Parts: sequence; C-alpha cells; structure tokens
Amino acid sequence: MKLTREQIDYIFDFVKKHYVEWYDLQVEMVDHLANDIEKIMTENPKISFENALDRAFRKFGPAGFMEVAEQKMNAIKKSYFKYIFQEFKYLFLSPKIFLFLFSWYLFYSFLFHTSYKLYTIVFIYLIITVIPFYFLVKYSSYLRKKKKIIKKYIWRKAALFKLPQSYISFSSFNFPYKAL
Amino acid sequence: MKKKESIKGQLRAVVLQILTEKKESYAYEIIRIVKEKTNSGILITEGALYPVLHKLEAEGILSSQIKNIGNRNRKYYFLTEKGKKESALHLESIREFIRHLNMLLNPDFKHIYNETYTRTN
Repeated sequence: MKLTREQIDYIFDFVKKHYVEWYDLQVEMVDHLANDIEKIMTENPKISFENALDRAFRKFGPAGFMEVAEQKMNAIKKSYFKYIFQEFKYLFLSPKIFLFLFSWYLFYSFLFHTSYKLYTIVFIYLIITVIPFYFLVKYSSYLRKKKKIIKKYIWRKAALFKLPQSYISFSSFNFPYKAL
Repeated sequence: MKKKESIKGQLRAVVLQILTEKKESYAYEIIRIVKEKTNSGILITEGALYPVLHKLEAEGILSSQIKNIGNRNRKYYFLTEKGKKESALHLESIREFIRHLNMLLNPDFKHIYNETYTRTN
C-alpha cells in the first residue's frame, strides 16, 4: 500500500501544524509517519487514512514531536558550544595572538615618533570601522539571496552567534546535508 | 522487568551496531530491524530513538543525507570515519560489560565461559 502525493502533502501539513518548523525534522517525521501509515493500512485495509495517521501519531506520546525537537535542539546547541570553544582555543593559542600584539606595538611606536598623530589615528580608525562594515553589508546581501533558496533548518535556529564567517570561521564544521 | 529502561541506556550501542552492519539506514528501518532480530522482544519507541540519532549526529559520529524515494524524501544516517573508530571501541566495551554481567547474574555462566575460552585457546 503506497501513499499518494496528496496524502504525503497532507502529512507534511499535519507535521507543520504540530509545531515542527524545521525542514530537516519535518522530512524525518513525515517519512516516519508515512512508513507507519503504510504498515497500518496493509495490515488493516479497512482503516481510513486519517485514522491510520492518528494511530501512527499517537505512538509519539502525549508531547508529540515537541520532545524530539527539544532534544535535537539541545544536542545541536551543545555541539555549537564545542565549536566555539575550539575556535577560541585556536585563536588564543596560535601565533596569531603574537602577530596581533606585535602589530599594536608597531603602531604605538610609530605614533610615538610621527608628527602627524591625529591624521594617523583618524586613518586607522576609518580602516577599522569601514572594512568590517563593507563585509557585513556584502554578507547580509548574500544571506538574503540564499534565504530564498534554503528553507529553515533547525541547525540555523540553534546557532548561538550568527556572525559572518569571516569573523569566526567554523572551519571544522561542515553543513551536514549534501543532497537536497 | 523494567525492560524499557534498560534498553534506553543501550540504544546507542544498538544503533551503532546496526549501522556498522548496514552501512546506511533510516530511523524506521532501525526500529523494524530491532523488532525482527529480537522477535518483538525489544520494541523501541519513536520518542527514544530520534534523540539518540540526533545526539550521535551532533557529536559527529553519524552523518546524514536526504534522498528522494519516489513520493517523499527520506533521511539516511551513516557512520563517519570518526564514528567507525568510536563505534568499534564502544561496542567492544559494551560486549565486555555484558559478559561480566552474565558472570554475575547466572552462576553457571562463568564455568561455561571459562571452559569454552580455554578450549578455543
């Protein structure tokens, strides 16, 4: 007994109505319910589609999908914390920090000797403010384009700091969905 | 017996074992395999399996891929390279634990186990 396209769409709406906003979790829950409904309907051909759906959903218990979604969110949050901690560790234990301190030393010694103190400060200030702003604007327009294509994923919802990747790169983090 | 609680703790090992054998699988199939292999002795509930799968995925032991199967999409899980190593270690430690538990729970077992052990070596 195979379900029709309309019935799959109906289950999709059903899952959405039960507060599963995220596409990856929706796919998983819809597939699970569809499998269960197919099994129930082959064992018991007289049962209607709605009744079979109701019976399949009841197996999730009184909390429905909420518990599954909540636990998934917790698992992802934990892994995000781990990635951020790794990046911080990398940042403060790498030679980058010495390069940073050395550049500040050069900057101050330059200020100490030059006679154009104000100009240098203004120039450096402009660089520090303008460049990140430029990247921020570029990144947000890139995100806006991408948003139209990619549906909501629970992975994104659980991200603690939605910083541009140029600031903190999740180098070890690969987006887990290859085929969509 | 409180079967439900004892399987909940070992669900991780069950999932890892099935994925080692099957290369890739989806949640509903894992539930079905467990039911078939144990002659309906162990029935995993939906609410228990999904959190385990998601946790393993977040830890990087499993990875997943969404594939289209005719009228719908299905999310397949498989072991990553890191996961293969860790699951072998995890399963070995679980097997050892079960062997020791058996020694404690049935007094004859130690005798039988020692006999077979010395015979094979």
